[in-house]
Amino acid sequence: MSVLPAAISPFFTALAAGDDASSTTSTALTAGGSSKPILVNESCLEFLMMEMVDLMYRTTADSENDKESVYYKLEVLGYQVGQSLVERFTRDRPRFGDTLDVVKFICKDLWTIIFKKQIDNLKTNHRGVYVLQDNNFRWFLRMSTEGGGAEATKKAVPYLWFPCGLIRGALANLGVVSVVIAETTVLPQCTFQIKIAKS
Amino acid sequence: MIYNLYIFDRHCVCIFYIDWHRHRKSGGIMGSNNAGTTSTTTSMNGQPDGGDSGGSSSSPAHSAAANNHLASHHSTTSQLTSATSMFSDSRLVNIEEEAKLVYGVVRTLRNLVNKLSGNQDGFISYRTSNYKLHYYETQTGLKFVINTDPSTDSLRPVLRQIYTNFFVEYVVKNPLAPVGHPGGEGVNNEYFKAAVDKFVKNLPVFDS
Repeated sequence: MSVLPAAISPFFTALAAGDDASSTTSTALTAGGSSKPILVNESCLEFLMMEMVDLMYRTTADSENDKESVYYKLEVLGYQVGQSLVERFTRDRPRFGDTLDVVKFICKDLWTIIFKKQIDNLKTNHRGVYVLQDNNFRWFLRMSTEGGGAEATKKAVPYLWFPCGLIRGALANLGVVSVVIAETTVLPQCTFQIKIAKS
Repeated sequence: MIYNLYIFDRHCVCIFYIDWHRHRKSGGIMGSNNAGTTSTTTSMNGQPDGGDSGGSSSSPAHSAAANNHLASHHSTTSQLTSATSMFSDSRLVNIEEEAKLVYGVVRTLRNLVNKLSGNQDGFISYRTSNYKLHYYETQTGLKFVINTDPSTDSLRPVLRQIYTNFFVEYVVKNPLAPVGHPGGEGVNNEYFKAAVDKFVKNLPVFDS
């Protein structure tokens, strides 16, 4: 088994393989598949994710469209991670029937792997638009500010861009080209809207 | 009976303050002479000219202060410097000064006790005829100070719980609170305040 290319994917792999326990952070999987699952401390991953958004803000030069470039960077990062994740986790599955099956895979399996829970609500208009709703988004569980809900909601938006990219990358690698937009009204709830491109 | 709680970071800044049963202790002054007001429960930043984000609206602890039978108004101003604490010698000191005083006392005692007691955490609490101060310091230099009435047992486990269950969860793991809380920023957020408030109010020693 080859070592996964993206740096972040091994964290998710390990999370899926076992629960959080502090252990080695080695990323190599031994050949033959007989090894014990490699575990990663969940707090490490959380801190890394938190720092990721801050890092993007810090390393983007103050120019007129810096918010755009932060969005772009986070989304592309998520895109690549999503592609790798899907490569790894659809290994043993049967083929997907149609786009709805792909979206359902994302809602159930992929979300469980990354966030340890499923998407709470999936809506579609059967014409290529899907709305995924997560009522208890894991990264929002501890977000709060002094000013209360509205201010926290505004500040929480950049943290949704990476998952947007994740979904888009996952879909893309399964053959579905899409555009993903995220929004949140009340923490810890958030919604992702997927628009499938007409082919 | 628990009076108040301070949290200091290792840069000698008070990053969090909350109080409950705060009232004048001396001479049975009931509602008369309210030259001083109860201190607002806000966080503090390092600058001496009053908080901007720190001095915001009253917190849930104030509704608790309402059940305090002494009729002291709590100040609803948003300027930190106009909040005063009450010392029985009627010298009005504002909350920042008070926090500095507390920090000075605590730090001096801690150094003294550490010199006497060698390599472990010596200073746990001290008691006067009016109050008892409990102290807990973490490895990262965070200092938790809580004041109670003199007859309370050691609240060190309580302080430790506040640190591990609330501070780490809602401040350290909060993506919106900057790492290192410069000047106390990000500590005084909704979840942390509400959690600490609820926890302390549910303690058996709270009202005794």
